[in-house]
Amino acid sequence: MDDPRNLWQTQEVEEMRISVEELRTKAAKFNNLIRRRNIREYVAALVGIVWAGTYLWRTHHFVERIALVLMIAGVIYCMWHLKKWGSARSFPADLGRSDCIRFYQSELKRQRDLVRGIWKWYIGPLIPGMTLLCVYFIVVPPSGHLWVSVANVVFQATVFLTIGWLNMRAARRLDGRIKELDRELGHV
Amino acid sequence: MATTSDVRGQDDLYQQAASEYGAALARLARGYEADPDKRRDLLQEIHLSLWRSLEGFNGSCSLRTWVYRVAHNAATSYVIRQRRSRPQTLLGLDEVEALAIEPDTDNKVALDQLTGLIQRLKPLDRQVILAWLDGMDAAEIGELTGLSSGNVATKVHRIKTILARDFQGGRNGRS
Repeated sequence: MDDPRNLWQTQEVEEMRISVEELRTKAAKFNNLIRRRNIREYVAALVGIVWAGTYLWRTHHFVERIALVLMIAGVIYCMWHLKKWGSARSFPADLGRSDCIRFYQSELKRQRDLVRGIWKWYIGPLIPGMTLLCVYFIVVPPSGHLWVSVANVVFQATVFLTIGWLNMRAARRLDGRIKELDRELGHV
Repeated sequence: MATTSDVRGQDDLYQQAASEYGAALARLARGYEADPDKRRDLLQEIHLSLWRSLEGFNGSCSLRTWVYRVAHNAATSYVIRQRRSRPQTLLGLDEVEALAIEPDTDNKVALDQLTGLIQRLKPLDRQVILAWLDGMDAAEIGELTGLSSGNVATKVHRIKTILARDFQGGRNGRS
């Protein structure tokens, strides 16, 4: 076999011929994609808010109303946080300025902070409203059966705890990879 | 806001970069994605990233270093995204040293084996081996990756050992 460097450099590859006009069109398409993805996120939140708002309008129970207002506030906070930190990201400006190790680290840190803070920005803001509603439904079961309300509480708590646990596990893995890069940089 | 001359500068730089490093970018994409269709998408993403990034090119490093940085960074982002949908364990050079690859005298098979090995490496080790295979010296690899010269030297030494053992038939007593 040839020298690996020679073998690698002389391999047949299909080069990409792409004009600047095509690149401009693709860049515009990419921006539209990001815009559409952000709109989808807002529409999903809006549907939740409208549902809670309608329920809020119809109910005459004070506790339910407070719970729904808290849930709407929680959804709005989640959306604000996603918009600020984690929504569909546009083109990163430091692609050419950052060396590979620092760019990789910054990508991992951004992801880690997003998943690690899930209790703060996703689960946490929804908990007060959900808890109040769950407690209210246990005290005054809407179906007339206490076990239905209890099962509902257990199901929702399991979903939240599982989401939280999976994200914390992902954050620990990302942390491990960030520390590995720190070692490569000689920071540890 | 970008002026007309800035835009022309960006376009000209891109055309220069694409003509000088087009083949290197295609090889680099091969080191990051095995599937030919997805590789074309990745290569297109690299070209798009390169063109967009050149708006901010200020000559603080050579055009070559800039092109390689953008390409590796865009490809690394791609690998991070892909790992979410296709979880796969990536290896470090130390783990690759323990792997047994049967050396092959056929260049095509050997190239496929080499590409397969690169695609299994962790991003940083992958960047170093791809840069070294593409003819960069230790100083250039350091500038590209951000690693110290000592760290680059260690990694390059390991890469040479692995390649000599597994791709140049220098390995005996294989199980």
